[in-house]
Amino acid sequence: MNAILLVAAMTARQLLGQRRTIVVVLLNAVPVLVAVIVRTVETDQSAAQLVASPVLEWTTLFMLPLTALLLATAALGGEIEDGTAVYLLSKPIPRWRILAGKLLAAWGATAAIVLAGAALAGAVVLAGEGGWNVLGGYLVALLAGSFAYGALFLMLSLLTSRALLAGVAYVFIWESVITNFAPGVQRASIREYTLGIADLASGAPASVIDADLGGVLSLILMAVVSAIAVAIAARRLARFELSGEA
Amino acid sequence: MSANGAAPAVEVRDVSRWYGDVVAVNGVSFALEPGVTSLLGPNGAGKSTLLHLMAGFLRPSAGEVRVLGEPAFGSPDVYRRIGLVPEREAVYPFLTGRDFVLLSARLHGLPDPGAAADRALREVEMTDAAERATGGYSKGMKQRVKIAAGLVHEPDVLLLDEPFNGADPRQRLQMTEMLRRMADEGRTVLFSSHILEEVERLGENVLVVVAGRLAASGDYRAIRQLMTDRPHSFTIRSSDDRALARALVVEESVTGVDLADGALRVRATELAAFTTLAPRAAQSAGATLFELRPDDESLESVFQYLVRR
Repeated sequence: MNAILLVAAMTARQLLGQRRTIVVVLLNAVPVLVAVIVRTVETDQSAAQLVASPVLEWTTLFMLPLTALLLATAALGGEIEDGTAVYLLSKPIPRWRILAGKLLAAWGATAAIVLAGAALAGAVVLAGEGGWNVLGGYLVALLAGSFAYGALFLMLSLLTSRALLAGVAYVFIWESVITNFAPGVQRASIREYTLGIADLASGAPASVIDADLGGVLSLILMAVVSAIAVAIAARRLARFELSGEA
Repeated sequence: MSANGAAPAVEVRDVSRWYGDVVAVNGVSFALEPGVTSLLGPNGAGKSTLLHLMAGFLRPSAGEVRVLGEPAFGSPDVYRRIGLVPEREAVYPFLTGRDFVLLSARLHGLPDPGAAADRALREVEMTDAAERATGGYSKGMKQRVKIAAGLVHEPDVLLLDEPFNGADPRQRLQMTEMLRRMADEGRTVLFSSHILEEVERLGENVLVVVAGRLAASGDYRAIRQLMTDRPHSFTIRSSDDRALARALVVEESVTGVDLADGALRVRATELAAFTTLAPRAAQSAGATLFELRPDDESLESVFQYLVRR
Protein backbone atom coordinates (compact mmCIF):
# COMPACT_ATOMS: atom_id res chain seq x y z
CA MET A 1 0.00 0.00 0.00
CA ASN A 2 1.45 3.37 -0.81
CA ALA A 3 2.22 5.97 1.84
CA ILE A 4 -0.78 8.20 1.08
CA LEU A 5 -3.24 5.34 1.50
CA LEU A 6 -1.44 4.03 4.60
CA VAL A 7 -1.64 7.43 6.27
CA ALA A 8 -5.25 7.86 5.14
CA ALA A 9 -6.31 4.44 6.46
CA MET A 10 -4.59 5.00 9.80
CA THR A 11 -6.09 8.49 10.13
CA ALA A 12 -9.57 7.25 9.24
CA ARG A 13 -9.34 4.66 12.03
CA GLN A 14 -8.12 7.33 14.37
CA LEU A 15 -10.97 9.71 13.47
CA LEU A 16 -13.67 7.07 13.72
CA GLY A 17 -12.54 6.12 17.22
CA GLN A 18 -12.85 9.63 18.60
CA ARG A 19 -15.68 11.10 20.67
CA ARG A 20 -15.96 14.02 18.29
CA THR A 21 -17.06 11.57 15.59
CA ILE A 22 -20.11 10.70 17.68
CA VAL A 23 -20.80 14.44 17.94
CA VAL A 24 -20.65 14.92 14.17
CA VAL A 25 -22.84 11.87 13.53
CA LEU A 26 -25.47 13.28 15.91
CA LEU A 27 -25.08 16.69 14.28
CA ASN A 28 -25.79 15.18 10.88
CA ALA A 29 -28.87 13.44 12.21
CA VAL A 30 -30.47 16.88 12.71
CA PRO A 31 -31.42 17.32 9.01
CA VAL A 32 -33.09 13.90 9.11
CA LEU A 33 -35.14 15.05 12.08
CA VAL A 34 -35.98 18.30 10.25
CA ALA A 35 -36.97 16.26 7.19
CA VAL A 36 -39.36 14.13 9.25
CA ILE A 37 -40.97 17.29 10.69
CA VAL A 38 -41.18 18.94 7.24
CA ARG A 39 -42.80 15.81 5.85
CA THR A 40 -45.53 15.88 8.49
CA VAL A 41 -46.36 19.61 8.13
CA GLU A 42 -48.95 20.82 5.58
CA THR A 43 -47.36 23.31 3.15
CA ASP A 44 -47.79 24.80 -0.34
CA GLN A 45 -44.13 24.29 -1.21
CA SER A 46 -43.06 21.46 -3.48
CA ALA A 47 -40.93 18.61 -2.19
CA ALA A 48 -38.02 19.94 -4.30
CA GLN A 49 -38.29 23.34 -2.64
CA LEU A 50 -38.53 21.79 0.82
CA VAL A 51 -35.50 19.59 0.31
CA ALA A 52 -33.51 22.58 -0.92
CA SER A 53 -34.60 24.79 1.94
CA PRO A 54 -34.62 24.28 4.86
CA VAL A 55 -33.35 20.66 4.83
CA LEU A 56 -30.20 20.67 2.69
CA GLU A 57 -29.52 24.37 3.03
CA TRP A 58 -29.03 23.75 6.75
CA THR A 59 -26.70 20.91 5.95
CA THR A 60 -24.68 23.23 3.73
CA LEU A 61 -24.71 26.13 6.17
CA PHE A 62 -23.86 24.29 9.38
CA MET A 63 -23.51 20.51 9.22
CA LEU A 64 -20.93 20.48 6.43
CA PRO A 65 -18.53 23.15 7.79
CA LEU A 66 -18.80 21.98 11.41
CA THR A 67 -18.26 18.33 10.50
CA ALA A 68 -15.26 19.24 8.34
CA LEU A 69 -13.91 21.50 11.08
CA LEU A 70 -14.12 18.84 13.79
CA LEU A 71 -12.63 16.09 11.63
CA ALA A 72 -10.00 18.00 9.65
CA THR A 73 -8.52 19.73 12.69
CA ALA A 74 -8.33 16.36 14.47
CA ALA A 75 -6.69 14.64 11.49
CA LEU A 76 -3.32 16.33 11.93
CA GLY A 77 -3.66 19.04 14.59
CA GLY A 78 -4.54 16.44 17.21
CA GLU A 79 -1.44 14.41 16.39
CA ILE A 80 0.78 17.47 16.52
CA GLU A 81 -0.68 18.31 19.91
CA ASP A 82 -0.20 14.87 21.46
CA GLY A 83 3.18 14.24 19.82
CA THR A 84 2.22 11.22 17.69
CA ALA A 85 2.80 13.22 14.46
CA VAL A 86 6.51 12.49 14.95
CA TYR A 87 5.91 8.82 14.07
CA LEU A 88 4.70 9.83 10.60
CA LEU A 89 7.01 12.77 10.02
CA SER A 90 10.18 10.80 10.86
CA LYS A 91 9.73 8.60 7.82
CA PRO A 92 11.45 8.89 4.41
CA ILE A 93 8.29 10.15 2.76
CA PRO A 94 7.83 13.59 1.17
CA ARG A 95 5.69 15.56 3.60
CA TRP A 96 3.10 16.41 0.95
CA ARG A 97 2.21 12.71 0.81
CA ILE A 98 1.51 12.68 4.53
CA LEU A 99 -0.65 15.76 4.04
CA ALA A 100 -2.44 14.10 1.12
CA GLY A 101 -3.20 11.06 3.29
CA LYS A 102 -4.54 13.27 6.06
CA LEU A 103 -6.68 15.27 3.62
CA LEU A 104 -7.98 12.11 2.01
CA ALA A 105 -9.05 10.76 5.40
CA ALA A 106 -10.62 14.04 6.56
CA TRP A 107 -12.42 14.47 3.23
CA GLY A 108 -13.61 10.86 3.15
CA ALA A 109 -14.87 10.89 6.74
CA THR A 110 -16.57 14.28 6.34
CA ALA A 111 -18.18 13.36 3.03
CA ALA A 112 -19.34 9.96 4.29
CA ILE A 113 -21.06 11.39 7.37
CA VAL A 114 -22.48 14.55 5.74
CA LEU A 115 -23.65 12.81 2.57
CA ALA A 116 -25.26 9.99 4.55
CA GLY A 117 -27.24 12.49 6.65
CA ALA A 118 -28.14 14.60 3.60
CA ALA A 119 -29.15 11.59 1.48
CA LEU A 120 -31.33 10.18 4.22
CA ALA A 121 -32.94 13.55 4.96
CA GLY A 122 -33.52 14.18 1.24
CA ALA A 123 -35.01 10.73 0.75
CA VAL A 124 -37.44 11.29 3.65
CA VAL A 125 -38.74 14.50 2.04
CA LEU A 126 -38.70 13.26 -1.56
CA ALA A 127 -40.09 9.75 -1.06
CA GLY A 128 -42.94 9.36 -3.52
CA GLU A 129 -42.39 12.91 -4.87
CA GLY A 130 -40.31 14.55 -7.64
CA GLY A 131 -37.22 16.74 -7.26
CA TRP A 132 -34.54 14.05 -6.85
CA ASN A 133 -32.31 16.18 -9.10
CA VAL A 134 -32.11 18.75 -6.26
CA LEU A 135 -30.90 16.06 -3.87
CA GLY A 136 -28.40 14.82 -6.48
CA GLY A 137 -27.09 18.36 -7.04
CA TYR A 138 -26.65 18.91 -3.33
CA LEU A 139 -24.83 15.60 -2.87
CA VAL A 140 -22.33 16.55 -5.59
CA ALA A 141 -21.87 19.99 -4.03
CA LEU A 142 -21.48 18.58 -0.51
CA LEU A 143 -18.83 16.17 -1.79
CA ALA A 144 -16.90 19.08 -3.32
CA GLY A 145 -17.51 21.29 -0.26
CA SER A 146 -16.17 18.54 2.05
CA PHE A 147 -12.89 18.68 0.17
CA ALA A 148 -12.61 22.47 0.22
CA TYR A 149 -13.49 22.81 3.90
CA GLY A 150 -11.18 19.88 4.73
CA ALA A 151 -8.27 21.56 2.96
CA LEU A 152 -8.98 24.90 4.64
CA PHE A 153 -9.26 23.49 8.16
CA LEU A 154 -6.28 21.17 7.73
CA MET A 155 -4.28 24.24 6.73
CA LEU A 156 -5.55 26.09 9.80
CA SER A 157 -4.47 23.22 12.05
CA LEU A 158 -0.93 23.64 10.73
CA LEU A 159 -0.93 27.40 11.11
CA THR A 160 -2.31 27.70 14.63
CA SER A 161 -2.85 25.59 17.73
CA ARG A 162 -6.27 27.29 17.99
CA ALA A 163 -7.52 25.96 14.67
CA LEU A 164 -10.90 24.97 16.11
CA LEU A 165 -11.52 28.50 17.33
CA ALA A 166 -10.31 30.03 14.07
CA GLY A 167 -12.58 27.65 12.14
CA VAL A 168 -15.61 28.50 14.26
CA ALA A 169 -14.91 32.20 13.64
CA TYR A 170 -14.69 31.53 9.90
CA VAL A 171 -18.00 29.64 9.81
CA PHE A 172 -20.05 31.78 12.19
CA ILE A 173 -18.57 35.24 11.68
CA TRP A 174 -17.15 35.32 8.16
CA GLU A 175 -19.57 33.04 6.30
CA SER A 176 -22.69 33.68 8.41
CA VAL A 177 -22.42 37.39 9.13
CA ILE A 178 -19.86 39.28 7.07
CA THR A 179 -20.78 37.72 3.71
CA ASN A 180 -24.41 38.85 4.30
CA PHE A 181 -23.48 42.49 4.77
CA ALA A 182 -20.46 43.09 2.55
CA PRO A 183 -21.27 42.71 -1.14
CA GLY A 184 -18.70 40.81 -3.14
CA VAL A 185 -17.34 38.95 -0.12
CA GLN A 186 -19.42 35.92 -1.15
CA ARG A 187 -16.59 35.25 -3.55
CA ALA A 188 -14.49 34.29 -0.53
CA SER A 189 -16.94 31.83 1.03
CA ILE A 190 -16.86 28.05 0.61
CA ARG A 191 -20.52 28.01 1.67
CA GLU A 192 -21.44 30.16 -1.35
CA TYR A 193 -19.35 27.99 -3.67
CA THR A 194 -21.15 24.90 -2.36
CA LEU A 195 -24.58 26.45 -2.96
CA GLY A 196 -23.47 27.60 -6.43
CA ILE A 197 -22.31 24.09 -7.35
CA ALA A 198 -25.53 22.56 -5.96
CA ASP A 199 -27.50 24.94 -8.16
CA LEU A 200 -25.43 24.05 -11.21
CA ALA A 201 -25.41 20.27 -10.60
CA SER A 202 -29.14 20.02 -9.82
CA GLY A 203 -30.26 21.90 -12.91
CA ALA A 204 -33.19 23.13 -10.79
CA PRO A 205 -35.00 26.41 -11.53
CA ALA A 206 -33.27 29.50 -10.07
CA SER A 207 -35.81 29.94 -7.28
CA VAL A 208 -35.18 26.50 -5.73
CA ILE A 209 -31.59 26.88 -4.50
CA ASP A 210 -30.60 30.23 -3.01
CA ALA A 211 -27.18 30.65 -4.68
CA ASP A 212 -25.49 34.05 -5.02
CA LEU A 213 -22.66 32.84 -7.25
CA GLY A 214 -22.82 31.13 -10.62
CA GLY A 215 -22.07 27.40 -10.70
CA VAL A 216 -19.02 27.55 -12.95
CA LEU A 217 -17.52 30.49 -11.05
CA SER A 218 -18.17 28.60 -7.80
CA LEU A 219 -16.37 25.53 -9.13
CA ILE A 220 -13.36 27.58 -10.23
CA LEU A 221 -13.15 29.56 -6.99
CA MET A 222 -13.53 26.42 -4.90
CA ALA A 223 -10.72 24.74 -6.84
CA VAL A 224 -8.49 27.82 -6.43
CA VAL A 225 -9.17 28.16 -2.68
CA SER A 226 -8.59 24.42 -2.13
CA ALA A 227 -5.34 24.50 -4.11
CA ILE A 228 -4.06 27.50 -2.16
CA ALA A 229 -4.98 25.89 1.18
CA VAL A 230 -3.26 22.61 0.21
CA ALA A 231 -0.15 24.47 -1.03
CA ILE A 232 0.16 26.50 2.18
CA ALA A 233 -0.40 23.40 4.32
CA ALA A 234 2.17 21.38 2.33
CA ARG A 235 4.76 24.14 2.65
CA ARG A 236 4.08 24.45 6.35
CA LEU A 237 4.37 20.69 6.93
CA ALA A 238 7.60 20.51 4.93
CA ARG A 239 9.08 23.04 7.37
CA PHE A 240 7.38 21.62 10.43
CA GLU A 241 9.23 22.13 13.70
CA LEU A 242 8.45 20.64 17.09
CA SER A 243 7.35 23.23 19.62
CA GLY A 244 10.09 24.33 21.96
CA GLU A 245 10.94 22.35 25.05
CA ALA A 246 14.53 22.39 26.19
CA MET B 1 35.87 14.01 8.99
CA SER B 2 36.43 10.75 10.84
CA ALA B 3 39.67 8.79 10.83
CA ASN B 4 38.69 6.86 7.70
CA GLY B 5 37.79 10.07 5.85
CA ALA B 6 34.04 9.50 5.95
CA ALA B 7 31.67 12.12 7.36
CA PRO B 8 30.85 11.58 11.06
CA ALA B 9 27.54 9.86 11.73
CA VAL B 10 26.27 13.05 13.34
CA GLU B 11 27.98 16.40 13.07
CA VAL B 12 26.81 19.42 15.04
CA ARG B 13 28.81 22.51 14.11
CA ASP B 14 28.51 25.85 15.96
CA VAL B 15 24.81 25.24 16.44
CA SER B 16 22.56 27.66 18.28
CA ARG B 17 18.85 27.58 18.58
CA TRP B 18 16.74 30.27 20.15
CA TYR B 19 13.03 30.79 20.66
CA GLY B 20 12.39 34.51 20.59
CA ASP B 21 14.68 35.91 23.29
CA VAL B 22 15.31 32.54 24.91
CA VAL B 23 18.50 30.76 23.89
CA ALA B 24 17.97 27.01 24.23
CA VAL B 25 21.24 25.86 22.64
CA ASN B 26 24.25 28.12 22.31
CA GLY B 27 27.24 27.54 19.99
CA VAL B 28 27.40 23.77 20.41
CA SER B 29 29.79 21.64 18.34
CA PHE B 30 30.48 17.91 18.48
CA ALA B 31 30.66 14.87 16.24
CA LEU B 32 29.32 11.40 16.94
CA GLU B 33 30.90 8.21 15.68
CA PRO B 34 29.53 4.65 15.94
CA GLY B 35 29.07 3.55 19.54
CA VAL B 36 26.89 4.62 22.43
CA THR B 37 26.90 8.23 23.59
CA SER B 38 24.78 9.58 26.41
CA LEU B 39 23.39 13.07 26.40
CA LEU B 40 23.21 14.40 29.93
CA GLY B 41 22.10 17.64 31.49
CA PRO B 42 19.74 19.03 34.08
CA ASN B 43 16.11 19.74 33.15
CA GLY B 44 15.86 22.65 30.72
CA ALA B 45 19.54 22.40 29.76
CA GLY B 46 18.77 21.96 26.07
CA LYS B 47 18.96 18.15 25.69
CA SER B 48 15.63 17.77 23.89
CA THR B 49 16.36 20.75 21.67
CA LEU B 50 19.67 19.16 20.66
CA LEU B 51 17.99 15.81 19.98
CA HIS B 52 15.27 17.50 17.92
CA LEU B 53 17.93 19.39 15.95
CA MET B 54 19.72 16.10 15.19
CA ALA B 55 16.40 14.41 14.33
CA GLY B 56 15.53 17.13 11.80
CA PHE B 57 12.60 18.44 13.80
CA LEU B 58 14.16 21.82 14.49
CA ARG B 59 16.02 24.14 12.18
CA PRO B 60 19.19 25.58 13.74
CA SER B 61 19.01 29.35 14.25
CA ALA B 62 22.75 29.35 13.51
CA GLY B 63 25.25 26.65 12.58
CA GLU B 64 24.76 23.33 10.89
CA VAL B 65 23.55 19.85 11.81
CA ARG B 66 24.40 16.99 9.44
CA VAL B 67 23.47 13.35 9.80
CA LEU B 68 25.51 10.90 7.71
CA GLY B 69 26.61 13.85 5.60
CA GLU B 70 23.09 15.15 4.90
CA PRO B 71 21.48 18.24 6.46
CA ALA B 72 19.19 16.97 9.20
CA PHE B 73 16.42 19.51 8.64
CA GLY B 74 14.17 19.34 5.60
CA SER B 75 15.56 16.05 4.22
CA PRO B 76 12.98 13.27 4.68
CA ASP B 77 15.33 10.82 2.93
CA VAL B 78 17.68 11.00 5.89
CA TYR B 79 15.10 9.05 7.90
CA ARG B 80 16.00 5.92 5.94
CA ARG B 81 19.09 5.81 8.13
CA ILE B 82 17.84 7.46 11.34
CA GLY B 83 15.67 5.86 13.96
CA LEU B 84 13.95 8.20 16.37
CA VAL B 85 12.37 7.34 19.71
CA PRO B 86 10.65 10.45 21.08
CA GLU B 87 10.25 11.14 24.77
CA ARG B 88 6.50 11.69 24.76
CA GLU B 89 4.56 8.65 25.82
CA ALA B 90 1.71 8.96 23.30
CA VAL B 91 1.30 6.19 20.74
CA TYR B 92 -1.76 5.46 18.59
CA PRO B 93 -3.95 3.83 21.27
CA PHE B 94 -6.24 2.08 18.78
CA LEU B 95 -3.39 0.17 17.10
CA THR B 96 -1.98 -3.05 18.48
CA GLY B 97 1.72 -3.07 19.25
CA ARG B 98 2.35 -5.12 16.13
CA ASP B 99 0.26 -2.81 13.93
CA PHE B 100 2.14 0.19 15.31
CA VAL B 101 5.53 -1.31 14.41
CA LEU B 102 4.16 -2.65 11.12
CA LEU B 103 2.95 0.84 10.19
CA SER B 104 6.47 2.12 10.77
CA ALA B 105 7.94 -0.70 8.63
CA ARG B 106 5.46 -0.01 5.82
CA LEU B 107 6.07 3.73 5.87
CA HIS B 108 9.77 2.95 5.55
CA GLY B 109 8.92 0.95 2.44
CA LEU B 110 10.66 -2.20 3.73
CA PRO B 111 10.44 -5.21 1.39
CA ASP B 112 9.04 -7.54 4.07
CA PRO B 113 7.43 -5.26 6.66
CA GLY B 114 5.79 -8.12 8.58
CA ALA B 115 9.07 -9.95 9.17
CA ALA B 116 10.83 -6.67 10.08
CA ALA B 117 8.09 -5.80 12.60
CA ASP B 118 8.26 -9.26 14.18
CA ARG B 119 12.07 -9.05 14.45
CA ALA B 120 11.91 -5.58 16.07
CA LEU B 121 9.24 -6.74 18.53
CA ARG B 122 11.39 -9.76 19.45
CA GLU B 123 14.33 -7.42 19.97
CA VAL B 124 12.43 -5.49 22.65
CA GLU B 125 10.73 -8.62 24.07
CA MET B 126 7.25 -7.46 23.14
CA THR B 127 6.16 -10.44 21.04
CA ASP B 128 3.74 -11.76 23.68
CA ALA B 129 1.90 -8.43 24.03
CA ALA B 130 2.10 -7.52 20.34
CA GLU B 131 -1.53 -8.29 19.56
CA ARG B 132 -2.89 -6.07 22.35
CA ALA B 133 -3.95 -2.46 21.73
CA THR B 134 -1.22 -0.03 22.79
CA GLY B 135 -3.84 2.03 24.63
CA GLY B 136 -3.75 -0.64 27.38
CA TYR B 137 0.05 -0.78 27.62
CA SER B 138 2.03 0.30 30.66
CA LYS B 139 4.50 3.16 30.27
CA GLY B 140 7.39 0.71 29.98
CA MET B 141 5.60 -1.33 27.30
CA LYS B 142 4.86 1.81 25.29
CA GLN B 143 8.51 2.74 25.58
CA ARG B 144 9.58 -0.64 24.22
CA VAL B 145 7.12 -0.64 21.35
CA LYS B 146 8.29 2.89 20.44
CA ILE B 147 11.85 1.59 20.37
CA ALA B 148 10.76 -1.33 18.16
CA ALA B 149 9.15 1.15 15.74
CA GLY B 150 12.34 3.25 15.80
CA LEU B 151 14.67 0.39 14.94
CA VAL B 152 12.41 -1.62 12.60
CA HIS B 153 14.39 -0.39 9.56
CA GLU B 154 17.75 -1.13 11.23
CA PRO B 155 18.98 2.46 11.16
CA ASP B 156 22.65 3.51 11.22
CA VAL B 157 21.84 6.24 13.72
CA LEU B 158 19.41 5.74 16.60
CA LEU B 159 18.33 8.79 18.62
CA LEU B 160 16.44 8.09 21.83
CA ASP B 161 14.96 10.70 24.13
CA GLU B 162 14.76 9.38 27.71
CA PRO B 163 14.29 5.72 26.66
CA PHE B 164 14.47 4.37 30.21
CA ASN B 165 11.50 6.36 31.48
CA GLY B 166 8.85 4.05 32.88
CA ALA B 167 10.91 0.89 32.38
CA ASP B 168 11.37 -1.46 35.32
CA PRO B 169 14.91 -2.61 36.31
CA ARG B 170 14.72 -5.80 34.26
CA GLN B 171 13.50 -3.90 31.20
CA ARG B 172 16.25 -1.32 31.68
CA LEU B 173 18.85 -4.03 31.77
CA GLN B 174 17.42 -5.61 28.64
CA MET B 175 17.33 -2.21 26.93
CA THR B 176 20.93 -1.40 27.82
CA GLU B 177 22.02 -4.78 26.45
CA MET B 178 20.11 -4.11 23.24
CA LEU B 179 21.60 -0.64 22.77
CA ARG B 180 25.08 -1.94 23.47
CA ARG B 181 24.52 -4.71 20.92
CA MET B 182 23.44 -2.12 18.34
CA ALA B 183 26.57 -0.11 19.03
CA ASP B 184 28.69 -3.27 18.68
CA GLU B 185 27.12 -3.76 15.25
CA GLY B 186 28.61 -0.42 14.22
CA ARG B 187 25.58 1.82 14.73
CA THR B 188 25.62 5.23 16.32
CA VAL B 189 23.36 5.34 19.36
CA LEU B 190 22.67 8.60 21.18
CA PHE B 191 20.30 8.71 24.09
CA SER B 192 19.36 11.28 26.68
CA SER B 193 18.68 10.11 30.19
CA HIS B 194 18.31 11.25 33.75
CA ILE B 195 19.15 7.80 35.03
CA LEU B 196 22.91 7.97 35.51
CA GLU B 197 23.16 4.35 36.65
CA GLU B 198 22.00 3.24 33.21
CA VAL B 199 24.23 5.75 31.48
CA GLU B 200 27.23 4.46 33.40
CA ARG B 201 26.32 0.90 32.54
CA LEU B 202 26.02 1.70 28.85
CA GLY B 203 29.36 3.29 28.21
CA GLU B 204 31.83 6.00 28.92
CA ASN B 205 31.06 8.50 26.18
CA VAL B 206 28.96 11.41 27.36
CA LEU B 207 27.86 14.80 26.13
CA VAL B 208 27.04 17.06 29.05
CA VAL B 209 24.86 20.06 28.31
CA VAL B 210 24.44 22.80 30.89
CA ALA B 211 22.40 25.96 30.25
CA GLY B 212 22.39 25.38 26.49
CA ARG B 213 26.15 24.97 26.22
CA LEU B 214 28.23 21.84 25.83
CA ALA B 215 29.95 21.58 29.22
CA ALA B 216 31.98 18.48 28.37
CA SER B 217 32.19 15.63 25.88
CA GLY B 218 34.06 12.34 25.74
CA ASP B 219 34.93 9.61 28.23
CA TYR B 220 33.63 10.79 31.60
CA ARG B 221 36.63 9.29 33.41
CA ALA B 222 38.95 11.31 31.19
CA ILE B 223 36.77 14.37 31.82
CA ARG B 224 37.19 13.77 35.55
CA GLN B 225 40.98 13.62 35.15
CA LEU B 226 40.91 17.01 33.45
CA MET B 227 39.09 18.62 36.37
CA THR B 228 42.30 19.71 38.06
CA ASP B 229 40.42 22.28 40.13
CA ARG B 230 38.54 19.41 41.83
CA PRO B 231 40.78 17.29 44.12
CA HIS B 232 40.09 13.56 43.97
CA SER B 233 38.52 12.22 47.12
CA PHE B 234 39.27 8.77 48.61
CA THR B 235 37.99 6.77 51.55
CA ILE B 236 40.65 4.61 53.20
CA ARG B 237 40.35 1.88 55.81
CA SER B 238 43.52 0.61 57.40
CA SER B 239 44.84 -1.02 60.56
CA ASP B 240 45.99 2.42 61.84
CA ASP B 241 44.13 5.29 60.21
CA ARG B 242 45.68 7.90 62.53
CA ALA B 243 49.28 6.94 61.68
CA LEU B 244 48.45 6.75 57.99
CA ALA B 245 46.85 10.23 58.14
CA ARG B 246 50.05 11.60 59.67
CA ALA B 247 52.10 10.03 56.88
CA LEU B 248 49.84 11.32 54.14
CA VAL B 249 49.32 14.89 55.31
CA VAL B 250 52.94 15.83 54.66
CA GLU B 251 52.76 14.72 51.03
CA GLU B 252 52.68 17.57 48.48
CA SER B 253 49.90 16.04 46.35
CA VAL B 254 47.60 15.56 49.37
CA THR B 255 45.42 18.62 49.93
CA GLY B 256 43.32 17.45 52.89
CA VAL B 257 42.88 14.64 55.41
CA ASP B 258 39.82 13.94 57.63
CA LEU B 259 39.35 11.30 60.25
CA ALA B 260 35.67 10.72 60.89
CA ASP B 261 33.15 7.86 61.32
CA GLY B 262 35.91 5.28 61.64
CA ALA B 263 37.35 6.05 58.21
CA LEU B 264 40.04 8.20 56.74
CA ARG B 265 39.07 10.60 53.97
CA VAL B 266 41.82 12.05 51.82
CA ARG B 267 41.78 14.65 49.06
CA ALA B 268 44.58 14.49 46.50
CA THR B 269 45.38 16.42 43.35
CA GLU B 270 46.14 13.40 41.16
CA LEU B 271 44.31 10.12 40.94
CA ALA B 272 47.03 7.92 39.49
CA ALA B 273 49.83 9.32 41.65
CA PHE B 274 47.80 8.80 44.82
CA THR B 275 47.14 5.14 44.09
CA THR B 276 50.90 4.51 44.25
CA LEU B 277 51.51 6.98 47.08
CA ALA B 278 48.93 5.50 49.47
CA PRO B 279 50.48 1.99 49.81
CA ARG B 280 53.93 3.55 50.23
CA ALA B 281 52.67 5.87 52.97
CA ALA B 282 50.89 2.95 54.67
CA GLN B 283 54.11 0.96 54.66
CA SER B 284 56.09 3.84 56.16
CA ALA B 285 53.40 4.37 58.83
CA GLY B 286 53.38 0.66 59.69
CA ALA B 287 49.71 0.36 58.77
CA THR B 288 47.96 -2.29 56.69
CA LEU B 289 45.61 -1.01 53.97
CA PHE B 290 42.20 -2.76 53.96
CA GLU B 291 40.39 -0.54 51.49
CA LEU B 292 41.19 2.36 49.16
CA ARG B 293 38.09 3.65 47.43
CA PRO B 294 37.76 6.70 45.13
CA ASP B 295 34.63 8.63 46.19
CA ASP B 296 34.01 10.89 43.23
CA GLU B 297 35.07 9.05 40.10
CA SER B 298 31.50 8.01 39.31
CA LEU B 299 29.58 9.55 36.45
CA GLU B 300 27.25 11.10 38.98
CA SER B 301 30.11 12.98 40.65
CA VAL B 302 31.46 14.16 37.31
CA PHE B 303 27.98 15.26 36.30
CA GLN B 304 27.41 17.11 39.58
CA TYR B 305 30.74 18.90 39.24
CA LEU B 306 29.95 20.00 35.71
CA VAL B 307 26.46 21.17 36.54
CA ARG B 308 27.56 23.15 39.62
CA ARG B 309 30.39 24.96 37.82
